[in-house]
Amino acid sequence: MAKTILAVDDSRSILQMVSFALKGAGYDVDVAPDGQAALGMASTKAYDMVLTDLNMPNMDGLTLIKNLRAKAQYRFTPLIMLTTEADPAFKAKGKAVGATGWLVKPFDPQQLLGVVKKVMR
Amino acid sequence: MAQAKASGFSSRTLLISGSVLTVVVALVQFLLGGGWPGAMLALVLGGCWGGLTLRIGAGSESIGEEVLAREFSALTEETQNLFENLAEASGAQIGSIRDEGHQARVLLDDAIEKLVSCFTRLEDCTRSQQKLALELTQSSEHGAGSGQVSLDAFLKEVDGLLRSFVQVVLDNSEGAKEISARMTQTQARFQDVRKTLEEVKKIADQTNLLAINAAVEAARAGNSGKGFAVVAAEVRTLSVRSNAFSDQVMASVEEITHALDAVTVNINELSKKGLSVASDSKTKADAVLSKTQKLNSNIEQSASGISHVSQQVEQEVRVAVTSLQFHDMVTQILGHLDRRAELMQSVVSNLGTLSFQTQVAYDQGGQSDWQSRLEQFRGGLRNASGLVEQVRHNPVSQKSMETGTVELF
Repeated sequence: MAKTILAVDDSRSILQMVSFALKGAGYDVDVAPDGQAALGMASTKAYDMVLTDLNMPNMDGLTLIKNLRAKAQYRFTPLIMLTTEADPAFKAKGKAVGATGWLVKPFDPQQLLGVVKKVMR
Repeated sequence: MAQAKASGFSSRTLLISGSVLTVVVALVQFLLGGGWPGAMLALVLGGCWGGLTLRIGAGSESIGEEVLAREFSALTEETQNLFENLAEASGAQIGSIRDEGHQARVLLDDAIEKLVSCFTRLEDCTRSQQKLALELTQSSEHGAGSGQVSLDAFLKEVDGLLRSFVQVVLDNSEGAKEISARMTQTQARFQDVRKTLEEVKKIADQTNLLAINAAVEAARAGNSGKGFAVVAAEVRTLSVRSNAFSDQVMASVEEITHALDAVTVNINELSKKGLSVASDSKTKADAVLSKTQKLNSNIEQSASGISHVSQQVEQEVRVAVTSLQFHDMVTQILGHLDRRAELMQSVVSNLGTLSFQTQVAYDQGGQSDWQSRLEQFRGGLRNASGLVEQVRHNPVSQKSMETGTVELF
């Protein structure tokens, strides 16, 4: 059974491209426009991985990861940041709240797949 | 009087000029990134200068107060208008910048969705094309599925069948040659039979002659030869019948010989035709097989080429997907620019609300009036400072469209 990934971003084009890259490799992909919507979806469905942007309306990526890590269900789930932000201070915050990794946009589809395969082994 | 008038006018002019200069310097400091310390320092210094010039002016006697008041009023009004116009014009320009920024974002949003859809469909089409090309190559090599014969195997089978056919024709030709040889032998036997029949005929002729002589001799003998004459007549009849029989056999042998000749000719012709047809068929079949194999090879090469091109397109689409993320980055930068413009709009708007009309002489409480105005401007700048903090950090780190870094914790 295909693994399901939740992609979270306020940019529809990024969601389109993430879905395109991951679906092409056989993953099921759900999308959410912000952290708050993603948190709601992650509460009703078990995802194998969450890929989230940092700056989003309603709830940012760091808060989303913090909230997901607080749930027993997502304690060990790969939670990856995919953002335009590369400031070490933000990366440190990401690491502190429990992010598994930090990808800086723009991403290469093959590179993204490589990371996804690596963290979901 | 004139000196005092000049002195009073000069001090107030200096006060206004100092105030304008203060605000402008503060604004420039702020906008050029000097930060709040620079802006505040400019305001404080300007305020002190204004206060100082007011103090100097306060010590002089006013002469021609009405004229002075009119000129002063005109100057303050002009300054007020200048600031209002500046605020209005700048606000309008900044508003236009924000509107055009918004328009750019809407256009980008509209275009990017179509572009991404277009590229994803292109990728899907390419994958389908590659799959078809691979199926074509595989089917020509191994057959598309169970029970299906590959083109290569089919060609080999056809080639095998044609070779069998040609071999059968060659075998038949050999058989025909053998039959022809046996026919020739048979005809030679028939020639022997003819010779034998001719000998039989000669014997019959001699027998006939002997019978005639016997009849003559029997006639000479008279009654005693009558019985012999009967025998002689019978012998003669037998020789005649023998001759007739020999002629019939000879005729039959001739017919058989002609028939055998015709059969031999037909068999030889059939054999030659068979060989010719087999040879032609083989040549044509070889040519067709060669062409078909070449066609098959071309199909395989084309399929392989299509597959290769599909891989290249896939690679290019990957680059396009990476590059198309410019939309997200540019949208964020435009949003950041919009917030910066919003800040500038706020600061410029504060300039327009500064009042220059309620001039009160320093010695009549003018100091507190100026302090109040400065405080008003400081308040405006303080409000803007909140926005400045928000827009200080650019959320987009990348300076080019090179793939971003990956860091796993």
